[in-house]
Formats: sequence, C-alpha cells, structure tokens
Amino acid sequence: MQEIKNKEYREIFSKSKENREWFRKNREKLLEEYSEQFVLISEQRVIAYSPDLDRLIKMVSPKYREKEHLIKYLSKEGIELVL
Amino acid sequence: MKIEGYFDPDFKPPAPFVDAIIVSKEAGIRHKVSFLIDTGASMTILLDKDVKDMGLDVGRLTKAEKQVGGIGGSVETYLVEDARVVFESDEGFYEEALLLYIGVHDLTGAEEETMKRILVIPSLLGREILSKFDLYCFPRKGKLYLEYSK
Repeated sequence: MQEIKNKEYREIFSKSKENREWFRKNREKLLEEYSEQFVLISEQRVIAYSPDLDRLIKMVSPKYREKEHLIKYLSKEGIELVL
Repeated sequence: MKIEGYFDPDFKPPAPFVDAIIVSKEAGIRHKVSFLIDTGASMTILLDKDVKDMGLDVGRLTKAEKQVGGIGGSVETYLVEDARVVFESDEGFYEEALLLYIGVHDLTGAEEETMKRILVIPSLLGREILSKFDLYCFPRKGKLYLEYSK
C-alpha cells in the first residue's frame, strides 16, 4: 500500500517539476503571448488561458484537471505582495 | 534530510516556494500545492487560487472559530482536521499531520483588479510546519532548502 502511495507521490512531484521547468524556460515567450492572464500548463504546454481564473478552470476538461498541472498568472510587472 | 525549494521569478523580488502534496479524506483532496514559505504566517493556509483549482467545496468543512487576518482583507476561514502534508526530500517522502486552514475571500461584486490582486496570493506554508525544520535561504545563489535532523 505504501509503495503504491509512494509511486503516486513520486509521479506528482516529478510531473510538477517538469511543468515548472518548462514554464521557467519558456517564461519570456509566454509573457509576450499571455500577459495579464492566467494560464494552465500541463504536460509541458499551455492548455488554456484567460484573464478570469473561474473561466479558465471551467474551460479545462476533467482529463487535464485531474492531471498534474500548474496555474500561473503572467504579469510583465511582476507580482508584488505584502502579506 | 533536505527538502528543496525554489524562488518563483513571477514575484518581485523572486519569492521562496516549496511544493507539497496536501492529502485529506475529509476534504476529498490529494493535490500538489506550491506554497509560499512565509515565516510571518502562524499557520499553513490554502488560499483562493488553490481552493478554486482543487474544486474544494468549503460548504462541507467546519468554519474556524478564529478568523485569520492580514491576507488582503476579510477572509472566511475553514478547517480541515485530518490533513497531511507530504514533501519530497533527498531521503524519500516526509509526511506530517497538520490542522489545515482554508481561507476564502468574499469576491462578490469585487472589481476585476481587486479580484486579480486576491487570486494571485499563493497558499502559505506557516511556522507550525516551518518550525520543524531549519530553513536555508540563499536568494543571490537561487538556492533554498528545508533541513530536518533528529
């Protein structure tokens, strides 16, 4: 049972890292194309984009929602936070 | 045992993050979450973007008696009592039970700009988890990790 769980965890972390790396490499290009929008990345490509997060989530089929994915907000100015 | 984090360049300046899997039967979730490492936060809290992404139905959860302040205005706070956080380390997986807070802003009637400002706030990894580790943070080298030793 633990082995199955570990295999699942390993897969999630590995796919997450792949998506993050892909995003990092392509960030400048994506910023040009999808500035001020949310993008959903899965299997190292952009699956959907929208300035509205709710709309973005509704646009994506369950097939991709269930897969490991990354949602990023692309802003040329950069996100500034004071929590 | 080391858990590697990273600096997210989307934030200005780049912000310290670590990925973890959050598991809860009560909330029906098993999701990867990219947490902002927030030494100013008392507790770990999932916020709007991740709550929406997970499709988490907060109506099923217990409302927290204590409301959480300081996260961009008024937040409705819920509790997940059976949550576990799983990190990937250089020695395998590290799993820890936690009382997970879920924070949801009321965005009814909010202007687009306000909505965006709220929805870009990441979930926070707070001190109740961070205090179990030593935190090594080297922003100029782009290196970051949590270290655990008995």
